[in-house]
Amino acid sequence: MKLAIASGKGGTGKTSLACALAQALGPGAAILDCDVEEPDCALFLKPRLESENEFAVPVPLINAAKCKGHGRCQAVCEYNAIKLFNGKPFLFAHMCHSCGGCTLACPEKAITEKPHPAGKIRSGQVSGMFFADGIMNIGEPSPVRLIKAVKKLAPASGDVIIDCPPGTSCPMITAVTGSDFCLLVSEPTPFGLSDLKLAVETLEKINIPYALVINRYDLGDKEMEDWCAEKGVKILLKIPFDLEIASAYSRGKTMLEVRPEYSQALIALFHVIKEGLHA
Amino acid sequence: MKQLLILSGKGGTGKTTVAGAFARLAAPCVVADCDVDAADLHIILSPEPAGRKEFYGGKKASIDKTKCTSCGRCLEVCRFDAVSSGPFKINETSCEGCGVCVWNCPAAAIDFKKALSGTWSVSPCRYGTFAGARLEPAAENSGKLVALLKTEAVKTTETAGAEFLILDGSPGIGCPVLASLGGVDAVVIVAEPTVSGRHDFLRLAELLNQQKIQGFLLINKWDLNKEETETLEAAAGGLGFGLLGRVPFDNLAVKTLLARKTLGEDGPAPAANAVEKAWKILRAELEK
Repeated sequence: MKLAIASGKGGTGKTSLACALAQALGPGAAILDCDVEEPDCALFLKPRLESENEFAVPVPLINAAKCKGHGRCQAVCEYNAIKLFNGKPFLFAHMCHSCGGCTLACPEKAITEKPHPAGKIRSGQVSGMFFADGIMNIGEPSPVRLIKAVKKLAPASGDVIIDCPPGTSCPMITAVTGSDFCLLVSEPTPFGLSDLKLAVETLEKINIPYALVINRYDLGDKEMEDWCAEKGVKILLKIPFDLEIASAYSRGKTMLEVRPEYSQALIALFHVIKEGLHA
Repeated sequence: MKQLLILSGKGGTGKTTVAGAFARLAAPCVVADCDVDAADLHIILSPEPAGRKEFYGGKKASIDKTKCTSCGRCLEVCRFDAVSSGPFKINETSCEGCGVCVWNCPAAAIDFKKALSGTWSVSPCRYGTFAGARLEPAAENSGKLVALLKTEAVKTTETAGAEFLILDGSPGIGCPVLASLGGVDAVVIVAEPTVSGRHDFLRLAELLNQQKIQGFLLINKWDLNKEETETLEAAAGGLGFGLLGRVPFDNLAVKTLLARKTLGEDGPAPAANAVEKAWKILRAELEK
């Protein structure tokens, strides 16, 4: 099963839960850190890295000698990444979405592509588990392609946990797409609930089944649970605020390292989801 | 006018809570919520209801079945895995709106229409004026919506003659964050003293240094880990960041949020006092 861990609101415990769940599942499982803007899983799992590769996206390379200044490149670019000045095309690389349109459109075949470094992809092992993450280069606008590339590293068999970026727009959707199920993690505050509603709306739009884990459930109010009851959203686990877990987290340790008793609950939760999917 | 942006790198460190408190302390001011795909600041600022304006950020392709000859050219040229075959179809959420399939289709069977990306509004709130936007579920172009909202917020601030424009930002370091950085006078990074909090702070701090923007650090829940707090402050100092102090873990902060109020609105409390002190330091720094 491919299980995505997402939240809408940031800082609700996605990475904590994803790492703990992977640890609970143990050898044979895989974890992919798709929060490539701020990838943190490696800080908790401390994997033995076996490979680290540069990740690049194609951007246009304009051959000025061949260009006749038709301006087809400017006309087809929906992102205003190519502009003609005195009949010569000029590239604004940070606006480019690497769609390849200008390369196809140029009647003189004056545009080829060159790789533009956008990040790196790492993979390795930890306790018999496969680990991979992506690290977006600082200053790059879009994590979408890198997220897709990290997801391609998922082993063909075995269970896969995907730690997703916060929010509900393209990065989150790219990370969640293709998963069998999405486990949402939230906290019962007005901010948590507002973002949970957005995340649910998004998952319904892209047709991915989901359920909820409420973290620090005793620090908030009951509105989230009431909303879930009304909407029919299943709550699979409620985790109380625990200073011991928070303190371990601050030192880069997962909840299972200080509260191993959660292991059983997490394995049970995973099987409930899996059985629900096959039912 | 001073433009102040609150960021964090890592999500959930307290950006919105700090932005709300700063808005109260800077009143009358203009506040804009630039976290358009998980906007929450309106919850504690309760702006007056206002008509929402629509924002069309980009286009989406769709195949006209009656004209499609199933040649597969669209699938061949699409780089965003947005085309599926049998029958040929475009997945709306994967489509990046590049239009390459549209002009490459030999049967001219692909429509290309503007898509609603989100809505936005500007209206009065108890601390001045609030500008907020909302991305449609599963929509794209959050960066463009942030840029539009900022332009409107700057105009409002100039018209009102307000001293401060307070901007609540998105987590991460990608396109909505880059869009929110344009023209700001300073960025306050709210960070937690954790291993991951420090890692994410350093990535965002590098982005600010790259863009030559003055940054300040405010540590939230500092008492969670004293050693990490010191490490974080030393790292920030080394990067030329101003230090705005330490906010303690405070249960009252959650209670204030549950009551949909801004931190400090109900009177003094440990976290509220620390944020107020941070505001005074920041204000003095910006006047230098």
